[in-house]
Amino acid sequence: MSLWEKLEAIDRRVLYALLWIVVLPVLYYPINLPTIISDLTREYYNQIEAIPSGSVVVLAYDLGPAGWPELGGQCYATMQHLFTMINEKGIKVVMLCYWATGAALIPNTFEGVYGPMDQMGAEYGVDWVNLGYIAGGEVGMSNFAMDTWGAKPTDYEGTLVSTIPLMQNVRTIQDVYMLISIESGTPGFEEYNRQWWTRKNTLKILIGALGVSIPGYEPFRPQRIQSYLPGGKGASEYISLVGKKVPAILAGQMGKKAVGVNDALSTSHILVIIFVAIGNIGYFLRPRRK
Amino acid sequence: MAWYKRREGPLIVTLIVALFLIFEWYFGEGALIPEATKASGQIQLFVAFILAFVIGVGALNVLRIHWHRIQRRKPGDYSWLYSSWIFILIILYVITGIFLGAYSGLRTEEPSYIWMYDYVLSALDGTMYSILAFFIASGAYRAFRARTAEAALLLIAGTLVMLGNAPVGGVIWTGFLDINSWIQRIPMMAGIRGILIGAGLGAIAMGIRILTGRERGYLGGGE
Repeated sequence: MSLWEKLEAIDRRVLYALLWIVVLPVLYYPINLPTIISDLTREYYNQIEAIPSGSVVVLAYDLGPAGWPELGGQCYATMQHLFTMINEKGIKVVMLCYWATGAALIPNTFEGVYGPMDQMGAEYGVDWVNLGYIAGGEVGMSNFAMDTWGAKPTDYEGTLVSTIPLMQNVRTIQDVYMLISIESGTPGFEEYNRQWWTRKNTLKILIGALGVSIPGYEPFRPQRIQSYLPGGKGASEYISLVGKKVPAILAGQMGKKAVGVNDALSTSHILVIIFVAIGNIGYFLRPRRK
Repeated sequence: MAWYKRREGPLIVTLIVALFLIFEWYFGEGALIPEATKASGQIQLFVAFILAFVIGVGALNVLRIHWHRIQRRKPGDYSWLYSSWIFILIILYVITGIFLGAYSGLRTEEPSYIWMYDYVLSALDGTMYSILAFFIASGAYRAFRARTAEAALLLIAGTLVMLGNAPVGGVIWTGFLDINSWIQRIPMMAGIRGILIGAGLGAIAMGIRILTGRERGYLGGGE
């Protein structure tokens, strides 16, 4: 076998090993490659900054632990950003999820399991509420759009929503100003689009997206989706923006991790591009059999 | 055939419910016929209850299948061990989640349940998803070969999108970000919109077939 043929057929285990080598060190010892904030991330941030005073925002954790490595940074930074907006503009935040596996991730985020979370003195039940898991997928979304109390009679702790001050003014989707869905599949934006946006076509929608899901969101931007965070890259960019308002987030576990993820994405992509180039060089230069 | 086994019953129920929900969609909201919206909400709540019930049925079915596999184990085939493990974990997780819940099961505060979620389920689930990175890297190396003009186009577009998506791409040359954005906003969007419109038309056609009783696959059974 000639050198060129060998380059064309490198054993996949070599590639796996090299991927470990380029990813692991930078995850634990980030090299702080520069971050350029993309327009998408900036727009996501600006949309949250522009929420009118007193508006109701739904933060949906439509993901499971599988999506957490990529979306965890987005969840964490979005929640922290919303707490700053509660403090600055008195917005109201309703947290919920249509994925059963997302229910445990909400308290894990604000209880500081993944790093310090500054709740800025926000009061539960008045400024924010966690409704937890709502069953039924798309049907559950439809229910919530028509009758929030009927769709989820109790919050995550079992308190009747009819006794929660914040929920007195959240009766249908018409009372919601913005939906922020951090999601890794179905149900997700497509279902919100059918059940929520069609009932309120002025609803602002922001999405926290997996990198592989981006093609599915792009056709809906900017008319239906105002912006989305693209995967781990979006998370690290957004954390650096939120970190300007809440420096503690950068010093925390999530902030450090975001820098590491940023570096790992760069090194792994470069490795793949190098290997694609090597494969093609081998393909074109190998001797042709007649 | 007994009357309760006949398919006409479910077909008529489907038709009535679907027609009512379509009616509510166009005339219920905006206080035109608010009672229709309330009734529609009730019908949809039934669906949520049925779905919750189905989760229990699904868990029982998984237990049944794996119990049979454990019973029918053959010498030299150790796959029954995996079935045993699933069996044990399902029962353990259900017992922990339902019977040891701190607030009558409404909130999963039980430390052992949370521990299993945080340190077993999260770790395994995250690992399974992350392993994809290795397959994507290996797949890209093998698939991105300029064997034909079309493959060359895919290779160039793929490489440019990778450079645009990698944080370091914009640092090397900001033009990669613009090219990536153009590829996603023009050619990719054209393709995706075509797929979405096609899927939408297909969904409408399927809906009409279900309403008219020509599509019966959702009822289960043989044909």
